[in-house]
Amino acid sequence: MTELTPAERLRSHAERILDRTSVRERDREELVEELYGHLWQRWQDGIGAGLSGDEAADAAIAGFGDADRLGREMTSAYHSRLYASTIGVLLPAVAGSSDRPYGYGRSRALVFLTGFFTLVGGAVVANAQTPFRLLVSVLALLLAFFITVLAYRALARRQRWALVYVQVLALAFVAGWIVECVVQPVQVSLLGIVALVVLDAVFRKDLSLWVGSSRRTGKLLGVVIVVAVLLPYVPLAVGAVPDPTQASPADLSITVRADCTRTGGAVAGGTVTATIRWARTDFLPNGFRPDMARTDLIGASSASSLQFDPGANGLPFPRGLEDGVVVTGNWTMVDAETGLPADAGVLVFSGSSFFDVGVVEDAIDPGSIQANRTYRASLGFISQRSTGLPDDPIFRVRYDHQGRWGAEAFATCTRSGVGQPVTTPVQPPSQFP
Amino acid sequence: MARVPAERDLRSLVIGVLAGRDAYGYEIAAQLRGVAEGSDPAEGSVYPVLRRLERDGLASGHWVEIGTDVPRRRYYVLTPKGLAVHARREAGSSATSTRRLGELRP
Repeated sequence: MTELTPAERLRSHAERILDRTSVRERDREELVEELYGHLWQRWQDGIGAGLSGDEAADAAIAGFGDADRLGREMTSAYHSRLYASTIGVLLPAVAGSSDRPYGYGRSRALVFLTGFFTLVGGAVVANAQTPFRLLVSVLALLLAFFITVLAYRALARRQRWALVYVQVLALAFVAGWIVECVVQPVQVSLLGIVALVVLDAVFRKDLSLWVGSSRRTGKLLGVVIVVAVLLPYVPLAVGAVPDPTQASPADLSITVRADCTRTGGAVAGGTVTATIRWARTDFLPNGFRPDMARTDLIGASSASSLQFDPGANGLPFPRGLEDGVVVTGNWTMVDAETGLPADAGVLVFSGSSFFDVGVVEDAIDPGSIQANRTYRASLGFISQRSTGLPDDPIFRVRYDHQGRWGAEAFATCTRSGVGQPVTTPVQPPSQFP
Repeated sequence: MARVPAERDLRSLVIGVLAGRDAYGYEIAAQLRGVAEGSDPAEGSVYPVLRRLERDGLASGHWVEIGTDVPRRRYYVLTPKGLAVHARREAGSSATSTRRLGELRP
Protein backbone atom coordinates (compact mmCIF):
# COMPACT_ATOMS: atom_id res chain seq x y z
CA MET A 1 0.00 0.00 0.00
CA THR A 2 1.22 3.51 -0.78
CA GLU A 3 2.42 5.28 2.36
CA LEU A 4 1.48 8.92 2.78
CA THR A 5 3.84 11.56 4.01
CA PRO A 6 2.84 13.23 7.28
CA ALA A 7 2.03 16.44 5.40
CA GLU A 8 -0.27 14.52 3.05
CA ARG A 9 -2.04 12.99 6.01
CA LEU A 10 -2.57 16.41 7.56
CA ARG A 11 -4.07 17.82 4.37
CA SER A 12 -6.22 14.73 4.03
CA HIS A 13 -7.60 15.27 7.54
CA ALA A 14 -8.45 18.88 6.74
CA GLU A 15 -10.24 17.80 3.58
CA ARG A 16 -12.04 15.08 5.45
CA ILE A 17 -13.54 17.65 7.81
CA LEU A 18 -14.67 19.77 4.91
CA ASP A 19 -16.20 16.72 3.22
CA ARG A 20 -18.66 16.72 6.07
CA THR A 21 -19.35 20.42 5.68
CA SER A 22 -21.83 21.99 3.36
CA VAL A 23 -20.04 25.17 2.18
CA ARG A 24 -19.30 26.91 -1.09
CA GLU A 25 -16.27 25.73 -3.02
CA ARG A 26 -14.38 28.98 -2.50
CA ASP A 27 -14.96 28.87 1.25
CA ARG A 28 -13.96 25.24 1.23
CA GLU A 29 -10.58 25.92 -0.34
CA GLU A 30 -9.80 28.66 2.16
CA LEU A 31 -10.91 26.53 5.08
CA VAL A 32 -8.81 23.60 3.97
CA GLU A 33 -5.81 25.89 3.77
CA GLU A 34 -6.50 27.37 7.18
CA LEU A 35 -7.07 24.05 8.90
CA TYR A 36 -4.05 22.53 7.18
CA GLY A 37 -1.94 25.49 8.37
CA HIS A 38 -3.03 24.78 11.93
CA LEU A 39 -2.24 21.07 11.67
CA TRP A 40 1.07 21.83 10.00
CA GLN A 41 2.18 24.13 12.80
CA ARG A 42 1.11 21.65 15.44
CA TRP A 43 3.06 19.00 13.58
CA GLN A 44 6.15 21.21 13.53
CA ASP A 45 5.80 21.86 17.26
CA GLY A 46 5.56 18.10 17.85
CA ILE A 47 8.75 17.49 15.92
CA GLY A 48 10.39 20.30 17.86
CA ALA A 49 9.34 18.52 21.06
CA GLY A 50 11.18 15.37 19.95
CA LEU A 51 8.43 13.36 18.27
CA SER A 52 8.99 11.57 14.98
CA GLY A 53 7.26 12.91 11.88
CA ASP A 54 4.51 10.31 12.03
CA GLU A 55 4.03 10.61 15.78
CA ALA A 56 3.77 14.36 15.49
CA ALA A 57 1.21 14.00 12.70
CA ASP A 58 -0.82 11.55 14.81
CA ALA A 59 -0.75 14.00 17.73
CA ALA A 60 -1.77 16.92 15.52
CA ILE A 61 -4.72 15.01 14.03
CA ALA A 62 -5.83 13.66 17.41
CA GLY A 63 -5.65 17.07 19.05
CA PHE A 64 -7.56 18.76 16.27
CA GLY A 65 -10.74 16.85 16.95
CA ASP A 66 -13.19 14.43 15.41
CA ALA A 67 -13.82 15.13 11.72
CA ASP A 68 -17.55 14.37 11.92
CA ARG A 69 -18.18 16.72 14.81
CA LEU A 70 -16.05 19.53 13.38
CA GLY A 71 -17.80 19.13 10.03
CA ARG A 72 -21.19 19.57 11.67
CA GLU A 73 -19.99 22.57 13.69
CA MET A 74 -18.58 24.15 10.55
CA THR A 75 -21.84 23.65 8.67
CA SER A 76 -23.79 25.33 11.46
CA ALA A 77 -21.31 28.25 11.35
CA TYR A 78 -22.29 28.94 7.75
CA HIS A 79 -25.99 28.19 7.84
CA SER A 80 -29.06 28.51 10.02
CA ARG A 81 -29.65 25.89 12.69
CA LEU A 82 -32.54 24.42 10.70
CA TYR A 83 -30.41 24.10 7.56
CA ALA A 84 -27.46 22.70 9.49
CA SER A 85 -29.59 20.05 11.16
CA THR A 86 -31.39 18.94 7.97
CA ILE A 87 -30.05 19.71 4.50
CA GLY A 88 -26.59 20.45 5.87
CA VAL A 89 -26.39 16.92 7.19
CA LEU A 90 -27.82 15.28 4.10
CA LEU A 91 -25.92 17.17 1.44
CA PRO A 92 -22.41 16.04 2.34
CA ALA A 93 -23.71 12.49 2.52
CA VAL A 94 -25.24 12.38 -0.94
CA ALA A 95 -23.29 15.01 -2.85
CA GLY A 96 -19.64 15.58 -3.46
CA SER A 97 -19.16 12.65 -5.79
CA SER A 98 -16.89 14.85 -7.84
CA ASP A 99 -14.59 14.99 -4.83
CA ARG A 100 -14.36 11.22 -4.61
CA PRO A 101 -11.00 9.88 -5.65
CA TYR A 102 -10.35 7.62 -8.58
CA GLY A 103 -11.45 4.07 -7.79
CA TYR A 104 -13.80 4.99 -4.97
CA GLY A 105 -16.97 3.90 -6.78
CA ARG A 106 -15.43 0.67 -8.05
CA SER A 107 -14.15 -0.21 -4.60
CA ARG A 108 -17.57 0.25 -3.06
CA ALA A 109 -19.15 -1.75 -5.89
CA LEU A 110 -16.83 -4.66 -5.11
CA VAL A 111 -17.71 -4.52 -1.43
CA PHE A 112 -21.41 -4.33 -2.30
CA LEU A 113 -21.21 -7.35 -4.61
CA THR A 114 -19.26 -9.28 -2.02
CA GLY A 115 -21.96 -8.64 0.55
CA PHE A 116 -24.68 -9.58 -1.92
CA PHE A 117 -23.07 -12.85 -2.94
CA THR A 118 -22.30 -13.66 0.68
CA LEU A 119 -26.01 -13.53 1.42
CA VAL A 120 -26.94 -15.52 -1.69
CA GLY A 121 -24.29 -18.13 -0.85
CA GLY A 122 -25.66 -18.33 2.68
CA ALA A 123 -29.17 -19.02 1.40
CA VAL A 124 -27.92 -21.84 -0.82
CA VAL A 125 -25.78 -23.41 1.88
CA ALA A 126 -28.63 -23.33 4.38
CA ASN A 127 -30.45 -25.91 2.28
CA ALA A 128 -27.86 -28.59 2.42
CA GLN A 129 -25.83 -28.58 5.60
CA THR A 130 -25.85 -30.67 8.71
CA PRO A 131 -26.94 -28.70 11.79
CA PHE A 132 -23.57 -27.89 13.32
CA ARG A 133 -21.96 -27.09 9.98
CA LEU A 134 -24.95 -24.99 9.08
CA LEU A 135 -24.61 -23.06 12.32
CA VAL A 136 -20.90 -22.44 11.71
CA SER A 137 -21.56 -21.51 8.08
CA VAL A 138 -24.38 -19.11 8.86
CA LEU A 139 -22.40 -17.42 11.63
CA ALA A 140 -19.40 -17.04 9.33
CA LEU A 141 -21.52 -15.67 6.50
CA LEU A 142 -23.40 -13.27 8.73
CA LEU A 143 -20.13 -12.00 10.14
CA ALA A 144 -18.73 -11.68 6.63
CA PHE A 145 -21.81 -9.77 5.51
CA PHE A 146 -21.65 -7.51 8.55
CA ILE A 147 -18.03 -6.71 7.74
CA THR A 148 -18.92 -5.82 4.14
CA VAL A 149 -21.57 -3.42 5.45
CA LEU A 150 -19.04 -1.85 7.82
CA ALA A 151 -16.43 -1.61 5.06
CA TYR A 152 -18.93 -0.07 2.64
CA ARG A 153 -19.72 2.66 5.14
CA ALA A 154 -16.15 3.01 6.36
CA LEU A 155 -14.91 3.67 2.85
CA ALA A 156 -17.26 6.62 2.62
CA ARG A 157 -15.91 7.78 5.97
CA ARG A 158 -12.39 7.58 4.65
CA GLN A 159 -11.22 4.90 7.03
CA ARG A 160 -8.01 3.24 6.04
CA TRP A 161 -8.93 -0.28 7.15
CA ALA A 162 -11.74 -0.30 4.60
CA LEU A 163 -9.29 0.42 1.80
CA VAL A 164 -7.01 -2.38 3.02
CA TYR A 165 -10.05 -4.66 3.11
CA VAL A 166 -10.88 -3.80 -0.52
CA GLN A 167 -7.27 -4.36 -1.54
CA VAL A 168 -7.16 -7.82 0.05
CA LEU A 169 -10.61 -8.58 -1.35
CA ALA A 170 -9.59 -7.63 -4.88
CA LEU A 171 -6.36 -9.62 -4.66
CA ALA A 172 -8.17 -12.67 -3.30
CA PHE A 173 -10.86 -12.62 -5.99
CA VAL A 174 -8.40 -12.14 -8.82
CA ALA A 175 -6.13 -14.87 -7.46
CA GLY A 176 -9.10 -17.20 -7.00
CA TRP A 177 -10.27 -16.51 -10.53
CA ILE A 178 -6.84 -17.27 -11.94
CA VAL A 179 -6.70 -20.56 -10.02
CA GLU A 180 -10.19 -21.45 -11.28
CA CYS A 181 -9.16 -20.78 -14.85
CA VAL A 182 -6.03 -22.89 -14.45
CA VAL A 183 -7.71 -25.96 -12.97
CA GLN A 184 -10.85 -25.77 -15.10
CA PRO A 185 -11.77 -24.40 -18.50
CA VAL A 186 -11.78 -20.60 -18.47
CA GLN A 187 -14.57 -19.38 -16.24
CA VAL A 188 -16.43 -16.10 -16.36
CA SER A 189 -16.58 -14.68 -12.87
CA LEU A 190 -18.48 -11.46 -12.19
CA LEU A 191 -16.62 -10.89 -8.94
CA GLY A 192 -13.34 -11.71 -10.66
CA ILE A 193 -13.97 -9.15 -13.40
CA VAL A 194 -15.01 -6.44 -10.93
CA ALA A 195 -12.01 -7.28 -8.75
CA LEU A 196 -9.71 -6.98 -11.74
CA VAL A 197 -11.08 -3.54 -12.53
CA VAL A 198 -10.82 -2.51 -8.88
CA LEU A 199 -7.29 -3.81 -8.58
CA ASP A 200 -6.20 -1.14 -11.02
CA ALA A 201 -7.44 1.59 -8.72
CA VAL A 202 -6.96 0.47 -5.14
CA PHE A 203 -3.18 0.57 -5.16
CA ARG A 204 -2.96 4.07 -6.61
CA LYS A 205 -2.17 7.04 -4.45
CA ASP A 206 -5.60 8.65 -4.93
CA LEU A 207 -7.37 6.32 -2.53
CA SER A 208 -4.42 6.29 -0.13
CA LEU A 209 -4.67 10.06 0.10
CA TRP A 210 -8.40 9.75 0.55
CA VAL A 211 -7.97 7.72 3.75
CA GLY A 212 -4.67 9.29 4.70
CA SER A 213 -5.75 10.95 7.92
CA SER A 214 -7.32 7.89 9.47
CA ARG A 215 -5.55 5.57 11.83
CA ARG A 216 -2.97 3.18 10.46
CA THR A 217 -3.76 -0.48 10.09
CA GLY A 218 -1.71 -2.53 12.52
CA LYS A 219 -0.67 -6.13 12.08
CA LEU A 220 -3.51 -7.44 14.20
CA LEU A 221 -6.12 -5.55 12.18
CA GLY A 222 -4.40 -6.78 9.02
CA VAL A 223 -4.86 -10.37 10.16
CA VAL A 224 -8.50 -9.66 11.02
CA ILE A 225 -9.04 -8.24 7.54
CA VAL A 226 -7.55 -11.31 5.86
CA VAL A 227 -9.76 -13.55 8.01
CA ALA A 228 -12.77 -11.40 7.09
CA VAL A 229 -12.04 -11.89 3.40
CA LEU A 230 -11.82 -15.66 3.91
CA LEU A 231 -15.02 -15.94 5.97
CA PRO A 232 -17.38 -16.49 2.99
CA TYR A 233 -15.38 -19.59 2.13
CA VAL A 234 -16.08 -21.24 5.49
CA PRO A 235 -19.13 -23.18 4.17
CA LEU A 236 -16.90 -24.80 1.58
CA ALA A 237 -14.36 -25.87 4.17
CA VAL A 238 -16.71 -26.77 6.99
CA GLY A 239 -17.37 -30.17 5.42
CA ALA A 240 -14.01 -31.25 6.74
CA VAL A 241 -15.04 -30.39 10.28
CA PRO A 242 -16.60 -33.25 12.26
CA ASP A 243 -20.18 -32.49 13.15
CA PRO A 244 -20.86 -33.63 16.72
CA THR A 245 -24.58 -33.75 16.00
CA GLN A 246 -24.13 -36.43 13.35
CA ALA A 247 -23.38 -40.14 13.54
CA SER A 248 -19.84 -41.18 12.71
CA PRO A 249 -18.27 -44.48 11.58
CA ALA A 250 -17.61 -45.25 15.24
CA ASP A 251 -21.37 -45.29 15.82
CA LEU A 252 -22.01 -47.97 13.21
CA SER A 253 -21.58 -51.67 13.69
CA ILE A 254 -21.89 -53.79 10.56
CA THR A 255 -21.16 -57.49 10.18
CA VAL A 256 -21.56 -59.68 7.12
CA ARG A 257 -22.04 -63.43 6.99
CA ALA A 258 -22.29 -65.79 4.03
CA ASP A 259 -24.16 -69.12 4.44
CA CYS A 260 -23.17 -71.24 1.47
CA THR A 261 -24.61 -74.41 -0.05
CA ARG A 262 -22.27 -76.76 -1.83
CA THR A 263 -22.59 -79.30 -4.58
CA GLY A 264 -19.75 -81.74 -4.88
CA GLY A 265 -17.56 -79.46 -2.81
CA ALA A 266 -18.14 -76.39 -4.97
CA VAL A 267 -20.25 -73.46 -3.81
CA ALA A 268 -23.54 -73.58 -5.68
CA GLY A 269 -25.38 -70.78 -3.88
CA GLY A 270 -26.28 -69.37 -0.51
CA THR A 271 -27.36 -66.31 1.39
CA VAL A 272 -25.42 -63.20 2.35
CA THR A 273 -26.70 -61.40 5.43
CA ALA A 274 -25.62 -57.99 6.73
CA THR A 275 -26.43 -57.07 10.31
CA ILE A 276 -26.33 -53.38 11.10
CA ARG A 277 -26.75 -51.38 14.28
CA TRP A 278 -26.30 -47.68 15.01
CA ALA A 279 -25.29 -46.61 18.51
CA ARG A 280 -26.30 -43.08 17.58
CA THR A 281 -28.12 -41.59 14.63
CA ASP A 282 -28.01 -38.18 13.03
CA PHE A 283 -29.62 -35.22 14.69
CA LEU A 284 -32.03 -33.80 12.09
CA PRO A 285 -31.05 -36.54 9.58
CA ASN A 286 -32.87 -34.83 6.75
CA GLY A 287 -31.52 -31.40 7.55
CA PHE A 288 -33.60 -28.31 8.15
CA ARG A 289 -35.20 -28.92 4.81
CA PRO A 290 -35.81 -32.35 3.23
CA ASP A 291 -33.39 -31.35 0.49
CA MET A 292 -30.45 -32.48 2.56
CA ALA A 293 -31.47 -36.12 2.45
CA ARG A 294 -30.97 -36.09 -1.28
CA THR A 295 -28.41 -33.38 -1.79
CA ASP A 296 -25.19 -32.70 -0.05
CA LEU A 297 -23.10 -29.83 -1.32
CA ILE A 298 -19.99 -31.14 0.31
CA GLY A 299 -20.25 -34.81 -0.56
CA ALA A 300 -20.94 -36.35 -3.90
CA SER A 301 -23.57 -38.84 -2.85
CA SER A 302 -27.28 -38.16 -2.93
CA ALA A 303 -28.43 -40.54 -0.22
CA SER A 304 -27.43 -43.21 2.24
CA SER A 305 -27.29 -46.65 0.75
CA LEU A 306 -26.52 -50.25 1.55
CA GLN A 307 -24.81 -52.04 -1.27
CA PHE A 308 -24.35 -55.74 -1.91
CA ASP A 309 -21.49 -56.34 -4.25
CA PRO A 310 -20.80 -59.97 -5.10
CA GLY A 311 -18.17 -59.25 -7.58
CA ALA A 312 -19.06 -56.42 -9.86
CA ASN A 313 -16.26 -54.30 -11.25
CA GLY A 314 -13.98 -57.35 -11.27
CA LEU A 315 -13.72 -57.43 -7.50
CA PRO A 316 -13.68 -59.36 -5.34
CA PHE A 317 -14.80 -62.40 -7.37
CA PRO A 318 -12.19 -63.76 -9.72
CA ARG A 319 -12.62 -62.08 -13.07
CA GLY A 320 -14.88 -64.00 -15.42
CA LEU A 321 -16.97 -65.70 -12.75
CA GLU A 322 -19.20 -62.82 -11.72
CA ASP A 323 -21.47 -63.09 -14.74
CA GLY A 324 -22.41 -66.57 -13.72
CA VAL A 325 -24.05 -65.50 -10.48
CA VAL A 326 -27.68 -64.55 -10.10
CA VAL A 327 -29.04 -62.85 -7.02
CA THR A 328 -32.44 -63.71 -5.59
CA GLY A 329 -34.72 -61.98 -3.12
CA ASN A 330 -34.78 -58.38 -1.94
CA TRP A 331 -31.80 -56.61 -0.58
CA THR A 332 -33.88 -54.47 1.73
CA MET A 333 -32.89 -53.41 5.21
CA VAL A 334 -35.50 -54.54 7.72
CA ASP A 335 -35.86 -54.20 11.47
CA ALA A 336 -34.54 -57.47 12.91
CA GLU A 337 -37.27 -57.59 15.58
CA THR A 338 -40.33 -56.50 13.65
CA GLY A 339 -39.33 -57.54 10.15
CA LEU A 340 -40.63 -54.22 8.87
CA PRO A 341 -38.66 -52.38 6.23
CA ALA A 342 -36.59 -49.67 7.85
CA ASP A 343 -36.10 -47.65 4.75
CA ALA A 344 -37.77 -46.37 1.68
CA GLY A 345 -37.74 -49.87 0.22
CA VAL A 346 -36.10 -48.76 -2.95
CA LEU A 347 -34.14 -51.54 -4.57
CA VAL A 348 -31.67 -50.49 -7.17
CA PHE A 349 -29.88 -52.93 -9.42
CA SER A 350 -26.93 -51.73 -11.32
CA GLY A 351 -25.41 -54.31 -13.53
CA SER A 352 -25.18 -55.38 -17.11
CA SER A 353 -28.76 -56.67 -17.00
CA PHE A 354 -31.52 -57.06 -14.45
CA PHE A 355 -30.82 -60.58 -13.37
CA ASP A 356 -27.14 -60.54 -13.92
CA VAL A 357 -25.25 -59.81 -10.82
CA GLY A 358 -24.05 -56.31 -10.17
CA VAL A 359 -24.13 -53.89 -7.33
CA VAL A 360 -27.44 -54.25 -5.52
CA GLU A 361 -28.13 -51.04 -3.73
CA ASP A 362 -30.81 -50.18 -1.26
CA ALA A 363 -31.39 -46.47 -0.75
CA ILE A 364 -32.03 -45.75 2.88
CA ASP A 365 -34.01 -42.88 4.27
CA PRO A 366 -31.74 -41.68 7.07
CA GLY A 367 -34.75 -40.46 9.01
CA SER A 368 -36.09 -44.01 9.35
CA ILE A 369 -33.05 -45.34 11.23
CA GLN A 370 -33.31 -45.57 15.00
CA ALA A 371 -30.43 -45.90 17.41
CA ASN A 372 -29.84 -49.12 19.30
CA ARG A 373 -32.02 -51.26 17.04
CA THR A 374 -30.71 -54.04 14.87
CA TYR A 375 -31.37 -54.12 11.15
CA ARG A 376 -30.76 -56.86 8.65
CA ALA A 377 -30.55 -57.19 4.91
CA SER A 378 -30.06 -60.48 3.10
CA LEU A 379 -29.84 -61.68 -0.46
CA GLY A 380 -29.62 -65.10 -2.00
CA PHE A 381 -27.22 -66.01 -4.75
CA ILE A 382 -27.05 -68.94 -7.16
CA SER A 383 -24.21 -69.93 -9.39
CA GLN A 384 -25.27 -70.82 -12.91
CA ARG A 385 -21.98 -72.39 -13.72
CA SER A 386 -21.83 -76.15 -13.65
CA THR A 387 -18.53 -75.92 -11.86
CA GLY A 388 -19.96 -73.64 -9.20
CA LEU A 389 -18.02 -70.87 -7.51
CA PRO A 390 -14.56 -71.08 -6.01
CA ASP A 391 -14.31 -72.68 -2.61
CA ASP A 392 -14.40 -69.42 -0.76
CA PRO A 393 -15.85 -66.56 -2.83
CA ILE A 394 -15.67 -63.09 -1.32
CA PHE A 395 -18.73 -60.94 -0.79
CA ARG A 396 -18.65 -57.28 -0.07
CA VAL A 397 -21.26 -55.09 1.64
CA ARG A 398 -20.82 -51.35 1.69
CA TYR A 399 -22.65 -48.65 3.49
CA ASP A 400 -22.50 -45.06 2.25
CA HIS A 401 -23.68 -42.36 4.63
CA GLN A 402 -24.82 -39.58 2.30
CA GLY A 403 -21.41 -39.33 0.78
CA ARG A 404 -19.88 -38.16 4.07
CA TRP A 405 -18.46 -41.45 5.27
CA GLY A 406 -18.89 -45.15 4.79
CA ALA A 407 -18.18 -48.62 6.08
CA GLU A 408 -17.25 -51.76 4.26
CA ALA A 409 -17.34 -55.40 5.32
CA PHE A 410 -16.18 -58.57 3.60
CA ALA A 411 -17.27 -62.15 4.21
CA THR A 412 -16.55 -65.54 2.76
CA CYS A 413 -18.35 -68.85 3.15
CA THR A 414 -16.05 -69.67 6.01
CA ARG A 415 -15.46 -66.31 7.62
CA SER A 416 -17.72 -63.43 8.73
CA GLY A 417 -16.61 -59.88 8.25
CA VAL A 418 -16.79 -56.76 10.42
CA GLY A 419 -17.25 -53.33 8.89
CA GLN A 420 -14.37 -50.93 8.70
CA PRO A 421 -14.64 -47.19 8.05
CA VAL A 422 -13.87 -46.09 4.53
CA THR A 423 -13.72 -42.77 2.83
CA THR A 424 -16.52 -41.91 0.49
CA PRO A 425 -17.39 -42.31 -2.24
CA VAL A 426 -16.48 -45.92 -1.59
CA GLN A 427 -13.78 -47.20 -3.89
CA PRO A 428 -13.20 -50.88 -4.76
CA PRO A 429 -10.43 -52.27 -2.58
CA SER A 430 -7.17 -53.25 -4.16
CA GLN A 431 -7.03 -56.46 -2.21
CA PHE A 432 -8.97 -58.54 0.24
CA PRO A 433 -8.24 -57.32 3.77
CA MET B 1 -13.50 13.49 32.54
CA ALA B 2 -12.51 16.86 31.17
CA ARG B 3 -15.33 19.29 30.52
CA VAL B 4 -15.86 20.49 26.96
CA PRO B 5 -16.86 24.17 27.01
CA ALA B 6 -20.25 25.04 25.57
CA GLU B 7 -20.30 26.83 22.23
CA ARG B 8 -21.26 30.11 23.90
CA ASP B 9 -18.38 29.78 26.42
CA LEU B 10 -15.94 29.09 23.63
CA ARG B 11 -17.23 32.08 21.68
CA SER B 12 -16.70 34.32 24.71
CA LEU B 13 -13.24 32.94 25.23
CA VAL B 14 -12.28 33.49 21.59
CA ILE B 15 -13.61 37.07 21.72
CA GLY B 16 -11.63 37.55 24.90
CA VAL B 17 -8.42 36.41 23.20
CA LEU B 18 -9.03 38.60 20.15
CA ALA B 19 -9.78 41.59 22.37
CA GLY B 20 -6.17 41.45 23.50
CA ARG B 21 -4.65 41.36 20.05
CA ASP B 22 -5.04 40.04 16.53
CA ALA B 23 -4.45 36.30 16.38
CA TYR B 24 -4.71 33.31 14.07
CA GLY B 25 -6.44 30.03 14.78
CA TYR B 26 -3.48 28.06 16.08
CA GLU B 27 -2.52 30.90 18.39
CA ILE B 28 -6.05 31.20 19.73
CA ALA B 29 -6.30 27.47 20.35
CA ALA B 30 -2.95 27.52 22.16
CA GLN B 31 -4.11 30.34 24.42
CA LEU B 32 -7.38 28.56 25.14
CA ARG B 33 -5.45 25.51 26.30
CA GLY B 34 -4.11 27.64 29.10
CA VAL B 35 -7.24 29.70 29.79
CA ALA B 36 -9.90 27.01 29.66
CA GLU B 37 -8.41 25.04 32.52
CA GLY B 38 -10.31 21.87 33.34
CA SER B 39 -11.97 21.82 29.94
CA ASP B 40 -10.87 19.98 26.86
CA PRO B 41 -11.88 21.81 23.70
CA ALA B 42 -10.72 20.19 20.46
CA GLU B 43 -8.37 22.62 18.76
CA GLY B 44 -10.41 22.52 15.59
CA SER B 45 -13.46 23.84 17.43
CA VAL B 46 -12.14 27.39 17.30
CA TYR B 47 -12.60 27.54 13.52
CA PRO B 48 -16.39 27.19 13.43
CA VAL B 49 -16.49 29.83 16.18
CA LEU B 50 -14.23 32.17 14.19
CA ARG B 51 -16.34 31.70 11.06
CA ARG B 52 -19.47 32.45 13.05
CA LEU B 53 -17.92 35.60 14.46
CA GLU B 54 -17.14 36.67 10.91
CA ARG B 55 -20.65 35.85 9.77
CA ASP B 56 -22.12 37.92 12.62
CA GLY B 57 -19.79 40.82 11.87
CA LEU B 58 -17.94 40.60 15.18
CA ALA B 59 -14.59 39.74 13.65
CA SER B 60 -12.89 39.88 10.29
CA GLY B 61 -10.11 37.73 8.91
CA HIS B 62 -7.25 38.39 6.55
CA TRP B 63 -4.45 36.23 5.18
CA VAL B 64 -0.82 36.86 6.06
CA GLU B 65 2.07 35.34 4.13
CA ILE B 66 4.72 33.92 6.47
CA GLY B 67 7.38 32.34 4.28
CA THR B 68 7.99 30.19 1.27
CA ASP B 69 7.71 26.79 2.99
CA VAL B 70 5.25 27.80 5.66
CA PRO B 71 1.46 27.85 5.10
CA ARG B 72 0.04 31.35 5.24
CA ARG B 73 -2.06 32.27 8.28
CA ARG B 74 -5.47 33.79 8.57
CA TYR B 75 -5.42 36.42 11.27
CA TYR B 76 -8.60 37.59 12.96
CA VAL B 77 -9.34 40.97 14.42
CA LEU B 78 -12.42 42.12 16.32
CA THR B 79 -14.58 44.66 14.51
CA PRO B 80 -15.98 47.68 16.41
CA LYS B 81 -19.15 45.63 16.86
CA GLY B 82 -17.10 42.78 18.29
CA LEU B 83 -15.24 45.10 20.62
CA ALA B 84 -18.56 46.51 21.82
CA VAL B 85 -19.86 43.02 22.54
CA HIS B 86 -16.68 42.26 24.45
CA ALA B 87 -16.93 45.50 26.43
CA ARG B 88 -20.55 44.77 27.35
CA ARG B 89 -19.63 41.29 28.53
CA GLU B 90 -16.74 42.54 30.55
CA ALA B 91 -18.93 45.15 32.20
CA GLY B 92 -21.62 42.58 32.91
CA SER B 93 -19.08 40.19 34.29
CA SER B 94 -17.58 42.90 36.49
CA ALA B 95 -21.00 43.93 37.79
CA THR B 96 -21.88 40.36 38.57
CA SER B 97 -18.62 39.90 40.42
CA THR B 98 -19.18 43.08 42.40
CA ARG B 99 -22.73 42.02 43.29
CA ARG B 100 -21.55 38.57 44.42
CA LEU B 101 -18.80 40.12 46.50
CA GLY B 102 -21.39 42.40 48.12
CA GLU B 103 -23.55 39.42 48.97
CA LEU B 104 -20.62 37.69 50.62
CA ARG B 105 -19.79 40.65 52.84
CA PRO B 106 -21.32 40.53 56.37
